[in-house]
Amino acid sequence: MSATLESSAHRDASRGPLLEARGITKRFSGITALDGIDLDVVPGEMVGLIGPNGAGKTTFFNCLLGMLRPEGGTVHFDGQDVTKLPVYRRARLGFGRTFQRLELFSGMTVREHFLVTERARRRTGRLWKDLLNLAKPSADEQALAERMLEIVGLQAQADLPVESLSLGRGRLVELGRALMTQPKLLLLDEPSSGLDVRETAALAERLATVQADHEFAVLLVEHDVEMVSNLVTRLYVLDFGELIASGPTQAVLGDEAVRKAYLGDVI
Amino acid sequence: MIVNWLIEGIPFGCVYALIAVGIVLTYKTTGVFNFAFAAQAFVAGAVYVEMVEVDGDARWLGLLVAILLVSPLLGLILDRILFRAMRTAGWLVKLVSVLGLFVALPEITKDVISGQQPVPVTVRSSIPPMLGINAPGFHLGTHFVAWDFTMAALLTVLVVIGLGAIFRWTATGLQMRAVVESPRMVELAGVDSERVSALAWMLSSVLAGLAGVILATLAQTLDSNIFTLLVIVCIAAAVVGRLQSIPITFAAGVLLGVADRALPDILQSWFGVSSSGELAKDLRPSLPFLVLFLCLVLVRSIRQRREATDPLAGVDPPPPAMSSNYKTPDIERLTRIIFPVFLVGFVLAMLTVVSGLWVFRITDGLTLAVTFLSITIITGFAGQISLAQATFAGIGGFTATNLALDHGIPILVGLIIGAAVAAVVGALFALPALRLGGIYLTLATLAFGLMIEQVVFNRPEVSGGTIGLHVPRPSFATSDRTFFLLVFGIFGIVAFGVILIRKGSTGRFLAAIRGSETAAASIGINATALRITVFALSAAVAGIGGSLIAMSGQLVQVGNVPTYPTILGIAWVVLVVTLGSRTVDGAVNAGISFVVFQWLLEDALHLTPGLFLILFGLGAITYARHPEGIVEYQTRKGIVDAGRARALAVRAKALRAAEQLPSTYTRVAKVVVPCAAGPALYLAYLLVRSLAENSWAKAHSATLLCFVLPSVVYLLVWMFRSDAALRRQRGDTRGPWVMLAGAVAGAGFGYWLHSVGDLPGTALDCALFGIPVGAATVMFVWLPFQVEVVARAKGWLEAPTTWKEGRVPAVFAIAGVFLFSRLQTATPPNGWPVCMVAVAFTIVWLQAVAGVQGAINELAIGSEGEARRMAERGATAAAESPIPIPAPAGGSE
Repeated sequence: MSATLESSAHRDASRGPLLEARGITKRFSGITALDGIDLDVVPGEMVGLIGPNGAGKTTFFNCLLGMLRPEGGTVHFDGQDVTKLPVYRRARLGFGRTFQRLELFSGMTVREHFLVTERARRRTGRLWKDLLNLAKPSADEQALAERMLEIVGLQAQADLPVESLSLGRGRLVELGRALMTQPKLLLLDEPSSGLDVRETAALAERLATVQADHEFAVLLVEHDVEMVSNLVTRLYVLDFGELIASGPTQAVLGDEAVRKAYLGDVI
Repeated sequence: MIVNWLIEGIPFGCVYALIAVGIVLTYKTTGVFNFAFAAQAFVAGAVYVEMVEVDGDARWLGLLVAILLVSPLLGLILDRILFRAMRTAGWLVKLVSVLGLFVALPEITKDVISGQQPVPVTVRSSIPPMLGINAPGFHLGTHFVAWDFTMAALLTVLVVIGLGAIFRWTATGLQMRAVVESPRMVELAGVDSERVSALAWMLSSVLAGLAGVILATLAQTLDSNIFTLLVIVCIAAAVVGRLQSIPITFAAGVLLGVADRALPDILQSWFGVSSSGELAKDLRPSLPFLVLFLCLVLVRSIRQRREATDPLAGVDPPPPAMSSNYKTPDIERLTRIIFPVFLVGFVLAMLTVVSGLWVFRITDGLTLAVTFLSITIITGFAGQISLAQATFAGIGGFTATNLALDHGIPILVGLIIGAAVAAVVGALFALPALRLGGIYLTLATLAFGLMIEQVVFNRPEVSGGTIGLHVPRPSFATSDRTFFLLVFGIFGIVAFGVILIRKGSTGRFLAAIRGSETAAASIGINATALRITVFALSAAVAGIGGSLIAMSGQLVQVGNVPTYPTILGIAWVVLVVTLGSRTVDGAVNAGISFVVFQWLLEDALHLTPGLFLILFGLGAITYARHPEGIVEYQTRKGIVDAGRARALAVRAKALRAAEQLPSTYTRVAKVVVPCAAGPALYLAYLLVRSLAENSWAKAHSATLLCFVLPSVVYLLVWMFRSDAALRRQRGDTRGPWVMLAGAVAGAGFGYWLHSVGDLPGTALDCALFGIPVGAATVMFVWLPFQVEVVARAKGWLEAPTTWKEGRVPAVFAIAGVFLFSRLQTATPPNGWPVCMVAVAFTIVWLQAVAGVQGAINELAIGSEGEARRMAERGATAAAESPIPIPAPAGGSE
């Protein structure tokens, strides 16, 4: 049943997929966390990945980005095989991500987060430049950071250390940091976890605007089906490490197997 | 041959195994990699040997006291004063504090119990005869096996099995393991995690005690160096067991013993290396370090281990901002003017009026400061602890020296080449090692350092054998003063570079990696490459410092007083991190205080050698509380306290103008000045006399008493009256009794010190002397406590001070007595070093007095005055007040 939902209509044939994961398999000492997952993302589209707790969503993310090494399968990004590349190389190719559990640079302010990311993106940080005192943030780096503060709406908190921010604002900092890398593909790992309804809505709205402006692709792992269904055009559903359905959002959400596995038996 | 190796190697191996298992157990139950295990073992060993060898042969009693009384007590004390404060801290904090203990504890033990020289341990202390086995050993086939070793091996096996059982099958064992993961989680599950961790420390300390006693009897000497090295050897076995598996650790320890025994034979039969030859002699002691290093680098599961983080770590409040954030523009402008003036003045003074000896000492301190900047880079910026910085300094120093002596290369060119060599070696080391996380990297650096020291530095071609090598200075800087200028210049360049790196991209990338390595990778930062660069850079800076150290002393050597001992390098790291590893000031303070303290305590005051190590080691304990460094902490606290005092004074002035100042308010200066007057007058008197006699006057206790006594009396009266005033404000009523008890205890303590030590004067003098000291000591803690009580009675949410503020002056009072008792009377110290110490101590006490009076004042006008003002002006005043106004007691008025 699920296979019939596979829809190729949404693939933009002229551009080819941006991300092409084939047969991703990950085992943790006997437990198969991921079993041959295939997933495509075309440039500029928003794709959702949902599944109950423990389905392997975050593990899949980590495999895509290289934080975990899968036992089998390949990852192609932008026409290049990135399966064996370390995390930072993939990031430079255009992967941006946020984390389910906040991973912020403790001790830095919000603005410093964006500045350091911009410097890392430009790859102009060199030891000899530091020693010649050429490492101060340039005017356009400052301007870009300022713009990002505006986009995520954290101007008022720009010079606060990130530890003093609330969880919701911390998520915005992570989003801004990921956007500063000017990603071709943004991986969002449960951006709404720990946020209340209002905050979630605000985050989704902000995300939609930014995405419309910058036209990067988004792969969204979410719990909150409502948020997902409002944002994405296509959905993948994971359960116990297996892909049980994929296709256009409404079709997938209407699928019986999906409802049974994920939404519970609400018949 | 193999049987021979086994029979001779296994018993030794069992002792290795015992210690290694102890280290693993401590790690599993407390989460602390216990470098101080050797030190704890040494304490028990010293107690046992002291009781058996020196005080008669109460052997069973000695055994019981050493292992079952002193050891658990030590564990308990360490848990209370140190480990409790850092249960939720990261691995770095834990490691530094333990390294501090590693440095301090053996020195304290030597000072208090066993004396500076190694104590020979005779057959009297041997354990088998206590069980009725009097034969020295037995024959197994043709091999002779000593009972001592057999007993040690048997005991080890028994203990390992017993502990393993406790650990695996009892509830307490499970709780211990859980507490390591997250003390807060465990508390949420209803377990008293403090009790569990205290128990874990007592248990591991007992194990250390057992190991210490066995080691002392087997080595037949009580030498802290042997203990230290042995424990580092055992770390290799612990690492093979991945700090997790007790059986593997045990097996590895035994194997290490066998390998140690077999190595010379293998070298001879396979490679034809004579067992008495140079290579074998150097290689054998470094075998465990080699094993340790290879294990760390090659074993995959160790390489990929990362320290687990407490899932509830997020509940900690954010770290406070750096003190520079608290500075007002005024202060900043002022420092911008004062600092250059100070620098110019300092250099001019060094070139003209400062005595030759002091120029030499300060230069020495600056050369150390350059070396310490390498620790600033690797620890402060990159967040890694390297214990091989002394080794990199040595690589730089020996390279420069040998190039100058053998090839006539100018020493400054040699300095640069040496730095480059150190950088290359550092990078080569870092390439495999930097994939290790945290503690494992630290262990690898230690193994690497000891290995280089044994195999490279000890070779006569490198270090000139027993006499060492003479190091030339550059031809334009042969005198001490010109050499100072050179060192100062190089220090300036390096320090400037370090500041630029911190502010530059590298520093910010490193800060990001420290914050979250995963996130740093996700924005495209290559952490490994960056760390290798920084490690090489740090090695280069250490190399420069090493060359400067060599030139300063004009001698490099190994042997009894090695120029670059790895173990002293540990003390370096501890010192720098304690004083502040993020800033250049920290490195300077560390370098200068290393030299000044050594001089002050050993040369000037003739105190026990190693006392400065004790101080620095114990200083590391403060690191657990102030990870930003004690200098940084004090600076910030000073700025905040000053602001608070200023706000208080402003309000008092307003109240006085309105004639509404309550009677309980007393100006701080009114109290501090009389307390300070006595010591200040005495200082002036000494100066005048010294100038008149044209030499430093000696300190005489009679004149000192004349000057200081009035101030002391005033202090005590002030304490009594303040307590009485607080008592009237619904404080605790037991104040006078506490003061009396302090006085009595002080008198008794003085009497006791006189009876055991060589305190000057009669027993009555000492008892009398103890009265004010004891009374003042307890009151330093009691008064802030009393303030707390009153604040609570008034319904304040936050007391203006807490009893904890009283700990520092109280500890200083006790330390002062000890210092005084240790002034060896045979060679009376000069007056002015004593004065320096006395002034430092007095400042601490005066600060405490000012703090308490300030708190009392806050009680006074924060309550009555503020309540009245609030009644007049309405509650809106609360929002405008410069300091938070505590809520008045609900409903009582």
